[in-house]
Amino acid sequence: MIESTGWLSAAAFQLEPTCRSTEHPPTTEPELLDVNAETPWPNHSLVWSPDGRRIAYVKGNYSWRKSLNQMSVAIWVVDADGGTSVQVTDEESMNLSPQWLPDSRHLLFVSNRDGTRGIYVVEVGMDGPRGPPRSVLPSSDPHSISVSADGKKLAYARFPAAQNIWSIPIPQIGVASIKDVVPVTEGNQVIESHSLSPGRDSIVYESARRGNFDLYKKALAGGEPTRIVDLPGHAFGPQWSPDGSEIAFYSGGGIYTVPAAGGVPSSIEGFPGRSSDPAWSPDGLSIAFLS
Amino acid sequence: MTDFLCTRPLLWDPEGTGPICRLSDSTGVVDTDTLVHVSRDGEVLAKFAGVPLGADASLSPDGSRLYIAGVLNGTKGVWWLPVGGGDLTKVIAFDDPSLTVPLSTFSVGDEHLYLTIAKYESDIWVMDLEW
Repeated sequence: MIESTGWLSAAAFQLEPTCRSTEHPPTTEPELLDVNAETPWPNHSLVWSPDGRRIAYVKGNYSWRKSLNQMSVAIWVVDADGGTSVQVTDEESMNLSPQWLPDSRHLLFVSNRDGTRGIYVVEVGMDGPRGPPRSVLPSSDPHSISVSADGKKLAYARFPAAQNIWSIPIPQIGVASIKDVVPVTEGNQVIESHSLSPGRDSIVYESARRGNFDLYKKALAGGEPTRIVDLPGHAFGPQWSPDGSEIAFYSGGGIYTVPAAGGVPSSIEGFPGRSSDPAWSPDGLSIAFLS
Repeated sequence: MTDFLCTRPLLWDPEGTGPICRLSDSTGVVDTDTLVHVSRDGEVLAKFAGVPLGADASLSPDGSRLYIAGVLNGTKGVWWLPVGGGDLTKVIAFDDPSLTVPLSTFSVGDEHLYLTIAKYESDIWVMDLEW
């Protein structure tokens, strides 16, 4: 099975389709190479190194392949003969679409490690990355990439992200059409989650409009948004507290709160594992979360 | 305590009895049609079955209605149901194919509902690679 799959990679890399797979159908039992028990996401985007010795893959955020989900995710490499997988990128940013160069030592990939999405390269040794990734094409909005067989050309699918907040009147009777929406926010940014202030006059949301996902708030009456959280990592899932004084959010697997007016976030200690999606209780004394 | 997995959405019931979340199967990845209301100790207090498949739910400001965005019987939209139980009522129809509503999150105000809409475009580029 491994030989057969290894050959398929080489064939795809050399762009020389043949019928060899039917001449030598797999005759061995599949071998288990890696188990991902840490996330509810499947491993995906497997790609063989040209020398057939290693397989790079992505451990999580499968939905990026079909949406604008910007969840942080890392690229891993496992020996084709088995063994322990090694992580070759950070998991604090989104790292996807690995592609080997012909030397089987360098990996190209898509990442938003510096804020906006670009293409990077990292050298991969037997025990992990050798040095930090280098930028190949910054801020190019790539979604996925492919390297030519000779390693001299790079193709990439550009996918500019624009996902904004819109509002629509709630009908008293009947069904309203989504065609009646009007914009609340605008621009080349991705907003996934948001929360209304208790007074329903402002909205807080996360946006990568200046690189990392930071938290912004904006008055519904109009005006420019105000950044209220600026962390080295990403901030997601803002939730306004019932009394309007604080905003809870998650970052790097931890839960934080920040004054609604902006300021220095406070980490809430004692949350187990990688936590997300904080939700205030109505009395503002408890926070539920997913972990 | 009942053993089950919660997935998004996660919110609190208006009385503060405990959170409401979407019931998941043991793998944590299946988007079921059931929301569960659990106590702070993890006991299931109520189930809302047959709700739209989707990513989010939000309470009305007065706490009387639970709005759910998702897919029901093959159509996408927003529905609400009484928090105390009752029938689903469709309130927003996602009837414009040119507008992609990713169902990530939405918020409910007094008179307006706030949601995210994605605009897609994609093209392919080729460049020389030096290494």
